[in-house]
Amino acid sequence: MRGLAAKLRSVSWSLISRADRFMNRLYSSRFNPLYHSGALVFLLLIVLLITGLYLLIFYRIGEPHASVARITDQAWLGRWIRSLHRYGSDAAVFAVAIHAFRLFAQGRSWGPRTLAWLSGLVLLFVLLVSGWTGYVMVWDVQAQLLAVEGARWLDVLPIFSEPLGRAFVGEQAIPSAFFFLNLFLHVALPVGMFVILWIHVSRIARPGLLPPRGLLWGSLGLLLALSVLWPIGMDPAADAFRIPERAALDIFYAFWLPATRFMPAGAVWVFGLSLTAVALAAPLWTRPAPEGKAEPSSVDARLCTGCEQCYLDCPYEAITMKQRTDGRDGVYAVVDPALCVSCGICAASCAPMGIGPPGMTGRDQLERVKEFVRLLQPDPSEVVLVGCARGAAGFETLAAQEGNGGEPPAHTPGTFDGSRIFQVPCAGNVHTSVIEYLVRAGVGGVLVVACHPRDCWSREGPRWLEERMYHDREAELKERVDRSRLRVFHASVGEDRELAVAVADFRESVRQLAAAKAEAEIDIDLECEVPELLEAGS
Amino acid sequence: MSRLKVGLGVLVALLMTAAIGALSQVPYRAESGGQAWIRLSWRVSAPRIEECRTFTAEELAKLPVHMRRDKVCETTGIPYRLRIVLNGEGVEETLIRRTGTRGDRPIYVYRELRVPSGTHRLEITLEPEVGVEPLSGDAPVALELAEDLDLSDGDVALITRSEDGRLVVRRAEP
Repeated sequence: MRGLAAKLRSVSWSLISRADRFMNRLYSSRFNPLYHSGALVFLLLIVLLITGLYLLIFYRIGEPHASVARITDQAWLGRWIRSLHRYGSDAAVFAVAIHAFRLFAQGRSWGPRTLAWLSGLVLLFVLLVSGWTGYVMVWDVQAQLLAVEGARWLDVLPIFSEPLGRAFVGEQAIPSAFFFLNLFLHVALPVGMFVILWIHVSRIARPGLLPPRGLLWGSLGLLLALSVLWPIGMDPAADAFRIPERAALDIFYAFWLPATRFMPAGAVWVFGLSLTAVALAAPLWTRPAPEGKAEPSSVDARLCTGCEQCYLDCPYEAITMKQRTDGRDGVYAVVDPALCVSCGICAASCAPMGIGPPGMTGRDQLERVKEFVRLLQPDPSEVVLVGCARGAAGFETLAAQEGNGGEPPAHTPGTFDGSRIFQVPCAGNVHTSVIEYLVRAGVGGVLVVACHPRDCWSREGPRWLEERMYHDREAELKERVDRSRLRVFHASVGEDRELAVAVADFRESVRQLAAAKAEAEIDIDLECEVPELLEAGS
Repeated sequence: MSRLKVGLGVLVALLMTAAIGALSQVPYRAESGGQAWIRLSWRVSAPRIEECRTFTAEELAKLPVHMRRDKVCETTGIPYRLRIVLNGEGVEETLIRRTGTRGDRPIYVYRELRVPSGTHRLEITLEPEVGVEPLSGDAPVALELAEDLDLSDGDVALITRSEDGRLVVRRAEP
């Protein structure tokens, strides 16, 4: 099962990384919509809330189809708002699908992320049901198909003494209570979604709820343009005495309808519940084998100064500060293993190197870099890449995922375009002492290859890395380190070409530095004396 | 950023937006043409019947003292036999009982027959099962319908009960 899951994830990751690369080239990583799928969903929910409130004013449960038709006839506002509501809800499903697929492909669906995965599935379910009720509200042919199909499914359950489907055959007028209940659900479910959304992000610090402004206004502008240029029309009203032969089907919400209509209702339940069970169980079947699983962070209380930096930097709020009990004053950091994703960001935030997952602490990194330098024999005209295993410099990531339950590879020093790579699990895990050690050991330059900030598997790795290197964030890179020999480059898996250009550019810059340094070291007096010596000799 | 890249970016964004628009309203043909449906949907309040039996000594011993009685009676409804004949051919003959976990809900009929458009002879009978005596005061109802239905393409004819309790055919308003 794990092998199959790893294979599936590997294929998914390959697909998503190709799409990322394409989007990065078009829109830059900052505005890549694939990186902001979760934030886009939140934005779209707000759009749905605002447009929904407007539609609610004009909707009448006593005459559902006629009232929606009247809204649609409001040429200057109603039609566009209804269309924006519809297209926004479609885009929300699309964004949710990308978000879920991305997290599955990245293996972010198990362990401490289980709550986010499960609540995300609940959100998707509520979104689909909410959309269903929205379509039924219109009471056109599509609504009739959806309502009858829903009733057919429910009629299998042994809880109704009479089939619900009888309500839609025209024996009696459909009671207003039905449309009231439907409207209530259509309002209550989205409100409930905001509560579930709060649970969804409850385990992460500083959730990015909105996309960058350019993407935000761009997305809204496109949806608005679509609403104006291609407004949603009205299908004929539902008629119990006519076969609902043709309808304009919304694939985002009713993709299942063409298949399920011809399946026995029991089979639909079995299929639907099986699919749900598989999705809900993803945290079990996507988690790596125990031997491939990274250990959570631990704290060496003797070294902890109580500075709180790890507590501030942890993207998953896995660290709390507690009163010391060892006779010393102040607080010390405590890691909750149930919340820790072993990203190692805390290791880089600790100047005295007293915290981090086993093998990833600052001290462990220093040990490794010493060995790395010993094998490397530094060349002052060459650059070294300090690369995130999951980014472009993590050339072995995919291969390792297949055989290692999706975990990053061991820290293998490889090469990229002739430059040696010192690989780390996350750029945010790199302790600044490692960078200083490399520079002081005599390498020409250090290029830190991080993932794009919104693509970080540990959420905030590249952000804290830059803060520590250039903006004096605690565990900062010392001032004495020559910044001209350092550079940070963001490149995700597959962006080899971009990385190669960045490496070549930096290498050239480092060589110029080396040349300038060599020139500066020339003893001009000695140089000038040479001809005199030669003359004296002759 | 080159003009080509900007142009390509705009084009991709427009295509994705258009795809959302297109997938939001895909023409879907739910049913093939040339057919009509006959729906049967009604409810009958079936007369009650009572089936009693005496407790065995063993059963009595298991009961608490204050619950011990000579016999136990179960009230259900008379079962009804539904017969549907379409164009002279028997489509269904079923025994229908009252619903609900205690069998105290009315009998209902809910069927859908899919037929080619055209004229069809439909005969329906719903009769109480012979040989079962209702409790006094409840008169069993028997329903029947025999009618030629002229159904156009896409028509749905509903067979249901009128206000006076007979089976009638309801069609779309002309």
